[in-house]
Amino acid sequence: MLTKEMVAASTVPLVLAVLSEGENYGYALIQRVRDLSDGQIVWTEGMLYPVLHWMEKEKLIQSEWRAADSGRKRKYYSVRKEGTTALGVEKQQWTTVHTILTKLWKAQPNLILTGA
Amino acid sequence: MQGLPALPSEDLQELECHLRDSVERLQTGGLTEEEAFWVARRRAGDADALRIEFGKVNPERVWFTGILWALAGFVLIRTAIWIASQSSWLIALIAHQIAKYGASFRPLNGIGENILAQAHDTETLVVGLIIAAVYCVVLLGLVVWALRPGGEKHLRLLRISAWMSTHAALSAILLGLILLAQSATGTGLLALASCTMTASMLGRLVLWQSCGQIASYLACVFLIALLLARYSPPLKRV
Repeated sequence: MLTKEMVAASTVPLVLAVLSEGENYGYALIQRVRDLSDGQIVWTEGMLYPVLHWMEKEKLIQSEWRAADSGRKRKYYSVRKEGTTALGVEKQQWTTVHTILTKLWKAQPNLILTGA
Repeated sequence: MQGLPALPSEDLQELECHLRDSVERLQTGGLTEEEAFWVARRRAGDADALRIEFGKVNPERVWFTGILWALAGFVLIRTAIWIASQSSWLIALIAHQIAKYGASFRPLNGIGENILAQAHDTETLVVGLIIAAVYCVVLLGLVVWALRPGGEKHLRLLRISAWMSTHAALSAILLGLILLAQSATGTGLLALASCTMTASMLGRLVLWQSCGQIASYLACVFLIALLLARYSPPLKRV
């Protein structure tokens, strides 16, 4: 499980990345991230929807109510141009951190926890 | 979900949709509809937690809820005062009529009428000022408490709005009782004063007093209706 700080830092880039695959609704977003993380990241609706609404306010994403195949109306979110730009920045930053950490851990393999 | 007045209907619809999706998914996993519903609801967290999380995006909505309850409290109190004062005027009017029919025997006619009327006004003023002062101090204290640095400001604001809702009803009942008791004792003196007042004077007083009160009352009701329509549309049961 991720720490609170890690969840706070990663939610926006994760939402942007999943939505850049194509528009989606809240419930499916949670499922997608849960599946991709093998159950390591399980968002609650109380946490995700306020973030989605905040991102919409910040014009990173947009939403639209539409009827699904089942006939039920759902609120679909999709990335806006500003969101794609923000995702690019996030990608660069996360990659930088990831590269540094990978290099360090390769040099110090004893740092990797076993059995964690 | 009905207990989430701080959320706009669109957010509620979205949460409802989410809950239905969760229930469907859990049902395919072998749970009954009722079991699935309980699990999904449990996962969603309690209403307070949701309200706080959603309140972070829309803090102004939390304030509006608080203002709404304060206004509702004001209208309730105004109504209590209005009912109490109207009933006392009504009793005074009836007493005046009785006194008019028994005009042949009025030993106190004209004696100390101004003093009685003044005493009644001062008393009302003092009681009114004390109540208003207590109210202001309590409200001011609450605002200072809510906005003190550190901690979860939203949670404190929510507690205040919840407190307001019970407080509004309680204070209205209490004030109503006090005013009724006050008017019951005051009515005797007032009836005495009304014996020396002409019917038209009494009528004019009642008329202007009622007009002012009804105007402020209607303005408040209108404002509350406006806020309700804007921020708490009727909710469907999930």
